[in-house]
Order: sequence, then structure tokens, then C-alpha cells
Amino acid sequence: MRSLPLYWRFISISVRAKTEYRTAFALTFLARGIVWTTEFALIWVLLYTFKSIAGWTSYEVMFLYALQLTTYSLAAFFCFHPFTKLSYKIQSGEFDELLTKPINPLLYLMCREFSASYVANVTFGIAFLSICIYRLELTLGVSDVLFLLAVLAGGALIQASAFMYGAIPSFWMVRNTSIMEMLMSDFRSFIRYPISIYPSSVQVILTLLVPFAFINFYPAHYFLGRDDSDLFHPLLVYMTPLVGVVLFGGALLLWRAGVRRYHSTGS
Amino acid sequence: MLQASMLYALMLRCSFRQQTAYRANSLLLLCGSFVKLFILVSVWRGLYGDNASINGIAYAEVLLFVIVNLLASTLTASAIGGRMGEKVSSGAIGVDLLRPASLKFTLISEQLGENAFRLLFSTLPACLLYMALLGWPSSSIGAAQAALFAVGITGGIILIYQIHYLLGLTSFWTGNSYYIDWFMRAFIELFAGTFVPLWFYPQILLNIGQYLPFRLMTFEPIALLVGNIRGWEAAGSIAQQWGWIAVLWLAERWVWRKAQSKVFVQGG
Repeated sequence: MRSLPLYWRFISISVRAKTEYRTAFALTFLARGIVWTTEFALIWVLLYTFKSIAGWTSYEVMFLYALQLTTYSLAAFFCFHPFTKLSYKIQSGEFDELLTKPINPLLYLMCREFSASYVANVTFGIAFLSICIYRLELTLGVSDVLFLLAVLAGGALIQASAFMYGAIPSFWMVRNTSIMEMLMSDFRSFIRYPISIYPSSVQVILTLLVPFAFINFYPAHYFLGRDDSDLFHPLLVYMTPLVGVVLFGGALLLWRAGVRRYHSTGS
Repeated sequence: MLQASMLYALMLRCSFRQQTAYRANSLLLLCGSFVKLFILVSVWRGLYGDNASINGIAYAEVLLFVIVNLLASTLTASAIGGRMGEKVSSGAIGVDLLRPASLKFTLISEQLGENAFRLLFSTLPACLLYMALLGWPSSSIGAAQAALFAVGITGGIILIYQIHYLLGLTSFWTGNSYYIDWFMRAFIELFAGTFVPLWFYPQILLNIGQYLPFRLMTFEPIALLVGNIRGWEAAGSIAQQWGWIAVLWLAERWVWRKAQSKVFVQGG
């Protein structure tokens, strides 16, 4: 805990490095914003003629998208660079450097390679959430807002775990694990839509095996006040924070085992 | 002329062969395409529900749209804009301009080689696998429709490469500006009708899209295939394609002339 200010310095340095080039930062912000807004708008276009999919209206599906985008971006702040480059670091032996520092290697990695540019994604994600809440005329009380924050945190932990489970196997399979990373991103695209449109086998996978459905589908039932006829169990609606913590705990254990397994490739 | 086209065919084959080095990658792309197809089909099944046809479009036609669109989008994927940007900002463009081959056709042949490989070893097997496992779309296609589609999709592909190349040329002014790429991709996605077919679009967007070339890239060729555009309309669609190709080609010539005077090679 003593080194907490140190981690904060790593983050603030990387934020400053990004915002130093103000025009480039602004243009990236804008470009990403346009891409996300288009995706968001395309859901509206998709449902324009059909009005609803599996009983979900356009703004309800857009709410799912907004939850997905926001939690992904929150996780990507700390996880995108550290874990997408992990297999390269292990292969090249660059990973050695992390172990020579007298601080926690995982925290060090996450804070040093903090990607400030995800500020754009988070901003747009929250804006989209607000638009949906406004258009759906949802009234959220204090406890609802607190639960929303817990769901965002839990969702972010699930997303972070996905990054970690995708990358950490590189400690064992030095050659290539982009397979896992790709599968993760393919799986993520399932939860763009309410999972009730898929066959129940896929729903089970998205609930138990790769539990992405907890990022948006299940908690959305709570906020949208949907009846739970398309759920396996009504309690699943509240489980997001718990699932997040459990998955992330598992990812930490896996990380620890991986680091213990790590032999420098030398070079 | 013949010699030149053989040169580009050779480049295409080389870049096709280069892809064989990434065999694991194509397996991944195969899985990715399969998942994409699975999701899209589930979405359309969910949207159609019990209706056999909506807005006069049958469910089978939408399925055909999804599959053909996935195949076509593999063939028309392009990183030409980004590659041009890299060449301009690294200065490698200087060498390319000295070569006795056109930069445009070099870039396009390399891209086509890559895309052909992906089509043959990732997307097409994914589609076949999907259909073998989960059923073929039951839609009857006449020979005339298939021929119209062949003409339409050829024009569409030329049109897409023309657009990408023209966009790539803007990097002479902007340096390596990937955000232009992003911006355009979003814009095209909104008006091309590749994700949501234009049959189901709101009228306002259709009206704007009418004045843009993007719907002619893959949407209208597929509409020709399923027989949604027929007779004189079909001829009109193809004529519009070639009209746009001509306009964009003239624009490209003009931009290219401006660009050449703009080149200052950075570093060496």
C-alpha cells in the first residue's frame, strides 16, 4: 500500500504523455467517437423496421451495447496494452524487466502501460448509457445508481479477466496465444444482442463457461424492469459484481502461476 | 499492356503465397467468420420471428444477403489507405514512385492476393461449414440473376478499390492519418447497407445514400442476385456504378497530379 502514490504517478505520466500532443489526442477522440456513434446508431437502424428483437426494443438493445462498451473501455484502460503485448514480452525476454522492480509486477505493468486514450470510449459509453436511460424514461433511485456502479465495476472485472485469460497462457505456450485473444473478441460480439436470440446451448456457454452475459444481458433485466421469463434463474440478474470478483480472482491466481512458471528466454 | 497485366498478376500471386505463412491465422479467421455468421443469422431469425416476409423481403433472401455479403466483404477488405499513409510518413513512397509499375495497381494486386487467400481458406470454408451444419438458404436463383450479380459485384469491387485508393491519396496532405480511415469506414458502414440491408432503412438515410456511391458497392449487386432489382432498374444500377467509377477515376487523376507536386520525401 505504501507504493500507492507511485502507481498513481505511473498513470499520471502516461496521461500526460498522451495529452501532450493535443491535436492528435483530440482527433483520436473524435475518430473513435464517430466509430462508436455509428455502431450505436446502426443498432437503431437495424431495429427501425422491426421495432424489436426477442422482445427487446431498440433503446433496450442499445443499452446492452452501452454497458458492453463502457465496461470494455474501463478494463482496457489497464489491460489493453499490458495483455495484448504480453506474449511478445515473454517471447523476447522483455518480461524480465518487470521482475527486477521491487514492486508488484502486475500492478506495475497495468499502471505503466495505462492507455489514456480509452477516455474517449468511456465518455461515449457513459453518454450512450445516459441517452438510453433518458429515452427509455427509466427512473433510477439512489440504490439503483449504486447498483449500476457495481454492475459497471463487475462488468469491467469480467472484461479485464477476459484480457487476462486470453494472454496469460503465453507463459506456457511461448509460441502463440493470439488464438485465445481472438476467441475472446469473437465471443464478445455475441453480447451485442440479447442472448435470448441464440439457441440455449449458446446461452449456457455465455452464462457458465465464458460468462459474458453478466456484462450486460442479466443486469439489464434489473434496470429495464424486464420480466425474467427468458432467464434460467431470476437471481442471475444480481450476480454481475460477484461473477466479476470471482473471475478476476481466478485470473490473479493464473497470473501468479504463470509468473512462477516464467523462465526467461534469454537473448 | 499485356506485360503490365502479367506483372500485376504475378504480384497478386506472390502476396497470395505470402499468406500461406500464416496458416494458424486463417484457421482463426475461419472460426471468426463462422461466429460472425452464426450471430448474424441468429439476429435475423430473431428479427423475423414468425414472419416469412417483411417489407416484401423474404427471410431466405436476407439469409442469402448475409452470406454473400460476408464473402464479398472479404474480397473487398482493404488496408490500402493505411499502407499509403505509412509509405508517405516513412518516406518509402519515394522508392515506390521510382518503380516502373503503377503504385495504384501494385497496392491493389497485393491487397487482392491477400483477400483471395482469405476468401478461399477462411470465409468460404466457414460459410460452407455453416451451411452444411445448419442448412442451405432455400432461395431459387435464375441464371440471369447470377449473371447480373457477376457483372454487378465486379463493378462493385472496382468501385471499392477506387474509393480506398482515392482516400489513401489524401495521406499526401495529412501524413499518416488513420483517423480519416476510421471516419470513412464509419461513414461507409452507415450508407452502404452492408450490416443492415437498405431494404429496412429509414427513408431519411436512404435519401442521403441515394447521392453517394456506397450502396453500389455490395448492396445493389446482392439485390440483383436475389432478384430485388430487375429489368431497367438493374441496368440503371450497373450504369450508375460505372458512372461513379468514371467520376472517381477523374477525381483520382486530379488528386494524383496535385499529390506529385506535394511529395517531399521524409528522411532516407
